[in-house]
Amino acid sequence: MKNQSVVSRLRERIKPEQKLFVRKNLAISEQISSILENKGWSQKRLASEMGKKQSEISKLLSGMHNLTLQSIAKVEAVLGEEVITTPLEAQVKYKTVHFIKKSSVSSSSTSICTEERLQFLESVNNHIKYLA
Amino acid sequence: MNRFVKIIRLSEFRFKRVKYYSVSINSNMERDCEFYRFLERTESDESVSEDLNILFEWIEQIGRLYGAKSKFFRNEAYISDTSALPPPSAVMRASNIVVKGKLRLYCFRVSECVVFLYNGGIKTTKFAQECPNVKEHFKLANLLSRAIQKAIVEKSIIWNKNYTDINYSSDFQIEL
Repeated sequence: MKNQSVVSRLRERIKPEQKLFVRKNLAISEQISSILENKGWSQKRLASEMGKKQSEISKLLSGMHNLTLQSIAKVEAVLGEEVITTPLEAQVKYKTVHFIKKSSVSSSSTSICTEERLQFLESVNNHIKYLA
Repeated sequence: MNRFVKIIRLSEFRFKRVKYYSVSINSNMERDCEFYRFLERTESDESVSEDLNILFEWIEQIGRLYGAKSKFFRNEAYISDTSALPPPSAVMRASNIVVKGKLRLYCFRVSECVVFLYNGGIKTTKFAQECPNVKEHFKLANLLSRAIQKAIVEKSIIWNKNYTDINYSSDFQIEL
């Protein structure tokens, strides 16, 4: 133990839930940034729409803030888009996405996909582009 | 007495998206660097144990997955805007990472790919300059960031071909 470096000691003591906390926090931050970018909104605009200070939005996007479900819901309501989708929700949406051919998305074949699903697909595509 | 500062490439913090550096004062050894001194001093403090774990994990995850985007860092002191320098997105400021609670780690986000990690502590007052725990680290961070920024401008520290890492001579040191 004494010979172990401080880095190894810290790596060993980090709990799984702390790793998950950071992972999900960063993923949420990236999701919000991606939506803001697609909408052409600045952090300042988001703050103003939410009635919050810009510093509060900075904290929210830092990847270390203890986000509440209430604050995520408020962000979603203001942005008009989902920030978090549970695996079950995603499963329902992806079932449709799975059968859509790329060419049919841009055509008028909306009989198999609702407007809402198309919007979701578009936001996934935008997020993929953002991450790339 | 003048202090001589060596740049330390943190061998355990070289990730796909971020290469982390620190500095050693009057030493060449990685184990003596400011960042490890911060970790060693803070690891036994139970009041910030969870915050330190989260900060540590955060450093690793942004290094592996996201890059050191400016939104992840809080600016502590404005030095100057060198946005004309490559990489274009770089805004040279001394920054600090805020963890929930009072733990502060001072650092210098040179770009999305290069970050210097310094020292820090538990901030107990509103302003870092007034806090006995962090004021020296805060002052030192600003001095170091300014010196590193100057070294980049003067090309004592140079970017690699695709601006994802820095290079410097093995005998390069900063005098404070």
